[in-house]
Amino acid sequence: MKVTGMACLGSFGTGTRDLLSACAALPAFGFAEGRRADTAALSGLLPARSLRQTDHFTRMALLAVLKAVEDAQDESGGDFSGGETAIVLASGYGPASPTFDFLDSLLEYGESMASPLAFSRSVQNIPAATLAMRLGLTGPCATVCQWDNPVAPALAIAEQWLREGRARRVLFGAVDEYTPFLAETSARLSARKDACAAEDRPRVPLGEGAVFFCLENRDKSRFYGEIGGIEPGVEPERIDLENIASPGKDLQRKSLPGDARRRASPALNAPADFPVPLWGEIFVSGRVPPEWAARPGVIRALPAYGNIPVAQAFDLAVFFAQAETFPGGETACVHFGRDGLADIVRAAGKSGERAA
Amino acid sequence: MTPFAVEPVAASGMGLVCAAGCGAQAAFANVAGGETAVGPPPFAADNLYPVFLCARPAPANPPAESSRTLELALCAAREALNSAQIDAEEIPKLRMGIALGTSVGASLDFLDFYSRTWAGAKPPLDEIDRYLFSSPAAALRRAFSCKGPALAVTNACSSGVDAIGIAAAWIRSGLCDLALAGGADAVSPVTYFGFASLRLLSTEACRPFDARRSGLSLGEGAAFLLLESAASRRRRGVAAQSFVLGYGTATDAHHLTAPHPEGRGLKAAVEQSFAQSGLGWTDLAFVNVHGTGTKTNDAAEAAFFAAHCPDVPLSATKGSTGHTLGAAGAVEAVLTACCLNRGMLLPSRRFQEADPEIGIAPVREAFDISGRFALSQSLAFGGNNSALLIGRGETCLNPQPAPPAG
Repeated sequence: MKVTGMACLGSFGTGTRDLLSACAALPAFGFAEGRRADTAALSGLLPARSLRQTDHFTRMALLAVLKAVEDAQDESGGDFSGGETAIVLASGYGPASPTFDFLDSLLEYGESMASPLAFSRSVQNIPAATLAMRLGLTGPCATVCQWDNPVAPALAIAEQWLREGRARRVLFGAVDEYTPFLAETSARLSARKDACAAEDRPRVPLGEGAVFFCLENRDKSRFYGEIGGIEPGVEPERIDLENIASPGKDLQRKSLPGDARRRASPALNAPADFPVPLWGEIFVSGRVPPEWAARPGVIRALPAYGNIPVAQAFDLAVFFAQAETFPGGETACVHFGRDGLADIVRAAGKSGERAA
Repeated sequence: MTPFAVEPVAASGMGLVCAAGCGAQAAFANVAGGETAVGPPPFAADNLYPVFLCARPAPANPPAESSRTLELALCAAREALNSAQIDAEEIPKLRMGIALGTSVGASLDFLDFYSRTWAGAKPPLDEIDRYLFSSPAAALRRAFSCKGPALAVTNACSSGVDAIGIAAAWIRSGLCDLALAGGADAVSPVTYFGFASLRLLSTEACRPFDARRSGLSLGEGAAFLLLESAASRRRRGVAAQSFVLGYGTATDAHHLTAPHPEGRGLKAAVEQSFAQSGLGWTDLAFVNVHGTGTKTNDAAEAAFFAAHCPDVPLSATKGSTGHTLGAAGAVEAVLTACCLNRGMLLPSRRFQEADPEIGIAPVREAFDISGRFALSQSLAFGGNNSALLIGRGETCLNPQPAPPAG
């Protein structure tokens, strides 16, 4: 699947430049705890009236998808409405604020006076449906909601729908939001004595954000790179480290020397002093086994954008954001689940075109 | 867009637990002519909105970290594995995935913990542990030691159909060799009071398509098809109990909580399932409709059938099972498969009087059928519409293309 458009926002800021800047702070945190994603830019893209009663989760998703579409249309244009475009949305918790708003109304006003609006907004697939309505999309639409990595299985749906001819393009998004209740509960879990030492998520404060990719199988002159080789549910001991980034081929570690990175960066709108040699490395998230966490060439970028169940999608965004600067490499994003199995998503940057 | 034609995917096992019974055959028999359990939900003081609860009681000593949704899912999944003759000890050696549709099962459903926190207390984290542990797709993968994808589809009431359609694509693409595909949902206070707030619940057991219908009735249940590649079935020497021939899904982009009045997205979904299977309306023995009993859902489905296939028999089974939300599509897919295998169409329980305003009536009584193919469809909040084309066991490996629909 070619990545022809991309956009993101979150606790780290707005856009891929802010995301890379947050990564530059690694291993320190790249965001302020409790910072919400800024969705004010939506008011310049949609009529204010249409945004009334739109919750924060959906606002993040809307801003990311509109920017991703704009990015994908940048060169070739194309009509994204109608039945040729599908939506796949992955989330760990789903629209949390509307859920808690409904519970608040239930507790405050009683069973007979609970808020119907909050309830309807709390249904997991309503944010994706809102995107479909705003964009006029009548193609397939799926929401995957599971706190233990929804990203890889959701990407597999996108890949299948393109392969089966159900859609010409898939707008793939991953969204999760911060709420004080989730943050407090997450902190309590991480403070518990029996918290697993290998679990990296609880040690990082809760973050939030949305990332959207426009995925297509067609040949296009301009794209960031490709996502492929999705392997969910793999035993860690069966992961072939040497071939993880490109099955059947040697791992292509194409990290540029430091000077080359610095030369390339300013011209390509990336942070000039971006010091992290992420290119050609392996991104890991979830319950990372200690032997993986300590392995050279393995990066846990979670502290850049916060404790978020859809971390794997942000790892991909970091990779493709760098593809503009360091074209031609490959990587793998590996999420380790609570049951010890790994979900692997491979990615490759395009050789120069988007960057040049 | 119209998807390409594909090969059928076999189901070598199936399992079902719902208010009509525990076990696919028992549930089928009770929908055909027995009784189902309808009553007040355990958490409500009155019986204002009756619900369909499984006869199977909760375990006396449930695991501390297991939710009711997970218990139901485990029950149906075990039946599916048993009927497919899969030994639990063999599963870790297989490439088996889990695709599960759910709504309650993926919700932030910890009302007691939340209410105590809301009141200023610092309650123990047991309920949060249960939420984390019981994430249903991951929990099933862990329970059976599967090595393959774990997916929770949360497309509201079409989730069960979507999970099966997606898992069939997994098998075709080689992502895994076997997949437990279906759905599970319990009746939760949050969902119950939520639907009540929307004024969508019926004050009596629901009457899909009836002139006096007044809303839906929630139900609990779980159902799975055990999908399996042809190579794996050959290796194990097992027969197909059913086939998934086609799947379609499309969005209305019309309204967040009501279907398109003429079934625009439903039409696209059904056409996709026809395109994948090479079949058409004239090949169908019947359609298992979504039929919730709400005014808007039943009217939209009726408008769709009146326009496209006024003669095909319709079966509405939620009068026997209640609306099991994320499980509904899977529950009805299993009942549809049972109908084809038994050669009997299930009656639409509690449907008595046709609604002259919608002009479509599902079948009242069970009757014999000889067809090999049937459609099962689901409509959902958010404008999701999904359809599955299901084939009778071991009779339709190479379905002939049907004449154009119409």
